[in-house]
Amino acid sequence: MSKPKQNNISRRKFIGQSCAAVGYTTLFSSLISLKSMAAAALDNSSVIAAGDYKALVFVMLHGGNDSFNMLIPKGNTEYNEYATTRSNLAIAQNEVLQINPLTNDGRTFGVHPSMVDMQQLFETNNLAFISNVGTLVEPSTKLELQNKSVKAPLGLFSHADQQQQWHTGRPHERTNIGWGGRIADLVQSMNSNQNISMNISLQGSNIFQRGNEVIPYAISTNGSIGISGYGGQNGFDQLRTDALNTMMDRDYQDIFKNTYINTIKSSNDSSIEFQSVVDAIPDFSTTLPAYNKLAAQFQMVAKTIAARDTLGFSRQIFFVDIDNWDHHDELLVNHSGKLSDVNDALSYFNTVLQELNVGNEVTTFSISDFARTLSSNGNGTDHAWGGNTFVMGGSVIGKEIYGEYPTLAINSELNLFDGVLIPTTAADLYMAELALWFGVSPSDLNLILPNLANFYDTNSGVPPLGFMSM
Amino acid sequence: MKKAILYFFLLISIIAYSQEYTDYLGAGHSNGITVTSSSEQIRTDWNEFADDENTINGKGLDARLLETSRFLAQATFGTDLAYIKLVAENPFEDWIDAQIDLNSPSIGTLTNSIYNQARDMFVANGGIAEDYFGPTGIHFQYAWWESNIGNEDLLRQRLALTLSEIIVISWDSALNDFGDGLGDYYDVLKDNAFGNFKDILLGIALHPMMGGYLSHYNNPRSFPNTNIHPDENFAREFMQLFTIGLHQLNQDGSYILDGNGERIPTYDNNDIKEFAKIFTGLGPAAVMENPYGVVAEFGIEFYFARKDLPMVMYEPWHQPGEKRLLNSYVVPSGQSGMKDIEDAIDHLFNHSNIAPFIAKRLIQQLVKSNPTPAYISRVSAAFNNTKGVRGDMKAVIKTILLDNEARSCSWINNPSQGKLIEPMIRYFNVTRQIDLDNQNGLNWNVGFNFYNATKQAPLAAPHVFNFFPPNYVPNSEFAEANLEGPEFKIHDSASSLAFVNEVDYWTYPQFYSVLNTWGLGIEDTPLDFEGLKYYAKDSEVLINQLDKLFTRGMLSNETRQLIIDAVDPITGNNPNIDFDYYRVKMALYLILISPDYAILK
Repeated sequence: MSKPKQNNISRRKFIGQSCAAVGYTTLFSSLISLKSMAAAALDNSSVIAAGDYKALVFVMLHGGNDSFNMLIPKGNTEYNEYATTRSNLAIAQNEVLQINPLTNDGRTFGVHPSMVDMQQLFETNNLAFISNVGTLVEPSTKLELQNKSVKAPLGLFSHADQQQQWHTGRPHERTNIGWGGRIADLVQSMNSNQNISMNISLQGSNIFQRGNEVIPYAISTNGSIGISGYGGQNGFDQLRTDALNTMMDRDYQDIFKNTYINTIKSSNDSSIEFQSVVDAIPDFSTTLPAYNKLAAQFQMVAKTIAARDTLGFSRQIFFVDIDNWDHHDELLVNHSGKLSDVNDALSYFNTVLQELNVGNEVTTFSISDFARTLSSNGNGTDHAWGGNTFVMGGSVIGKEIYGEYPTLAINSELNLFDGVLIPTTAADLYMAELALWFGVSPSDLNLILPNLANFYDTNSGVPPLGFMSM
Repeated sequence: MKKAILYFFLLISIIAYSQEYTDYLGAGHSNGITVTSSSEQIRTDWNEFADDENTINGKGLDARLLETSRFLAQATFGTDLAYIKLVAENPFEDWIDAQIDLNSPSIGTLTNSIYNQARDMFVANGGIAEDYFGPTGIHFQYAWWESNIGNEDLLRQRLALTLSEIIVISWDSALNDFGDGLGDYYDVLKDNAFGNFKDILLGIALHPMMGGYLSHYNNPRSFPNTNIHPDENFAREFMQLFTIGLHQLNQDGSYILDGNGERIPTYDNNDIKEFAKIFTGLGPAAVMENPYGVVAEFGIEFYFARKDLPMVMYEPWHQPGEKRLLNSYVVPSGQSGMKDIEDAIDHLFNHSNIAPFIAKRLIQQLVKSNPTPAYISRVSAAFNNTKGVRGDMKAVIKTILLDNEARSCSWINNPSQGKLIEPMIRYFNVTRQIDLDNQNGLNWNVGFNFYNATKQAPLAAPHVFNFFPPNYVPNSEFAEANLEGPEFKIHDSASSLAFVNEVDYWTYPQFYSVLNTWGLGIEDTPLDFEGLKYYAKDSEVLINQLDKLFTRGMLSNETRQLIIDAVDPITGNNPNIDFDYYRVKMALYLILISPDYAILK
């Protein structure tokens, strides 16, 4: 079990000798030496230590979370603004579960009534919110957006575009490379395991985790079931295995055929290594919530984390996804059900991580396409922009609301129209904070997030938002 | 049990079994021309042998058959060899013309009748009728499969599914409770597949299931005093996904660029708000029988609405006033709500984007992922005006399937052309192209194991963006070549292996079925290997049969050889082992997971 760690340490020693040592890597391609330098840059940060492990868990609330009904004004003045604007979609004031941030400006806030456990996670410093965060190319006011003197994100309010931009960190362009993938391109070499991608998805292919080199390893809530019969000992399976090997090892000239078979081959290779290790992880004593798709994904994430030493991972990025947040209709009932699932799943995941004693090593954060219009379309809401997210973990400086919780008055200067709020905190800052915690050096942040400089000076010495204990 | 039987293979001697073998194409020996003989069989190149003079040695006929196999792989969910032979006899256009006249019975009606039959079976098994809820999405699945295993309207059904992946509703939602509505929605696509695209747009815009899915059912006008504005959901996706797309297009499908080289949006959010006003005021045409005294009126719960009747306009709930749509087009104030809708749909139907937008989607679904601009142009032209008609689906489909780029064999060897066949169509291929051992006379199927493995079934997309986006770029290889591969979105490390294992299950017909039902006490339906076992004595003959069925005559020498090497050693003298059965299993399993089959060139 300790072998992968040894490799890590020796690798760190090697690249820790700064440029002179890196010079030896000219034996390899320049790409590899660049990566080594990047890893060396990581080493210079304060995060590397023996047995060091960190994981980011991206929770995609797919479809657009109505997050001003997730984090809700509770005090009379701000609640009345909220209730007037939200009309028939307001949660009753006495049902809002109050939270008590350490820092406050006199306003009182609470969470949706179905978030009982998240309220507790907040109060016990394990959870924080970031308010009115959204995709931005540069700081933007209503006037500037209306007279087009600032560059707005491409395809605002469109699911596909806004999901993509939250995945890429590049609202000014359309690219299929995600910020989680770019981080992994820099970091993957730190893992002693070079066979299995450090980016593991519980929901198939996604842009967030795809780098220029790294692609996500998609597994199911059961892990990674390999090809039945592959490597089997009976005569039939021996013949089958030989045939599969011939099929998978062949280099197809055809780009479609090559991509098709390479996915199968690399998946099968990975699954052979992955599944036996994950299968050996004992069941958790925490009870898995029933019929909760998010919790089932978290369970497999936790098992993978539990197997990190055997598999040889010191850095991993996970992607989980819960669908059907596009509540144009029947918002109150359906949104409540979704938040309830998230609440139960987060509570479960947090407890399991404690069980594994990795509470401080794993940071779980939410992202959604966009928030939804503050105003009602009858019994639902439409696509909007800035919204609220949550971040959970032992390294989160919890019990705080970061960013500026906006006024929800319908006539405010942040209201573009119909209760579409202009974000006051750029998504870039949210991503940069998480990337820094993960170990990306400040100097590499601008490579990952090219618009970051419009919001943040990477030489400032202060963190972008301050919600992570670095 | 599976393991126990397979252990017999520890005993198998590795001695190749070879035999000169001659057989006839089609079922049985009664007719046909000798086409395959293992000693003569070479990889068919229909470029060289596609003339009748070669019929004597079979190669010429083979070429036409293989060409037909490829055509039918684009145009159907798969056919058997006898059907391929039949279609091969005449120009493909004749077959399309004949198909246009065929339409199988309503899937909505079939869903209802299957539900009634299923409930009777449930009761016969000791269940209580009131406990058997439905018709639900399950009964729609039963009906879909019943229709698609036995039907004759192959092209129409293929197009209905294609359209259902462009104009998406899904039972992976609250719609699952309304199987009759799912069937009725599918009928709109099926019945209009060879009609006019505008009628498809009208049909789906007014369909209560679309109204439930994209929430313009019970969508009221604005009430400024309470900050209530019209729901934008349908308005947005109707433009983005069903008609014109996000960016202005040339007729060849390429983007029109501004002076800075940037794409030009087709609409902005203000436009969406104007379209949202159009789609206000729609409500139920009638209600289901109910004991609560609920009658059809605006605002009643979706549950009560009849799902097989188009929504109707409730004028007081429709946004009054003019609506300013695209390109300075104004829907005037003072006209009826339904006229507003008709005008808006007419407006989008006449937008210059719709032809290239829909043309590319249809080509990507049927033929290839990366059509050339010229190909898209030709299909756009057919959409824009065929004999004075705009939106004639007959003309569009004919142009797509008969175009040189779909038919010419010169595209086959292009290493960057073709498409990945989506998993559910590979599933349909297997059930339609291999005999079924059907003991119950029904072709109902719930397809749940397959859905679990691949997340695919008809009308089961995870959201309105379908199972995969049309512009998906699978990897850097594709990105560098500037190519798209939509279906690769669902070919990931989990689903790709899950599909391989589904094939493993299907090809153990004594243990696993391909069609099955839930709780009805009827036998599941597995594949029937008897027909293929007939060819199994000679691995090359067996593989040639499978090549015609699945790999369109394009099985590579390398894949052919690896299958031969895996099949030939399966032989021996032990009378307790059905060697032919395992030879068929091995060959079928390998061909179904081979890239030669999964990639349609």
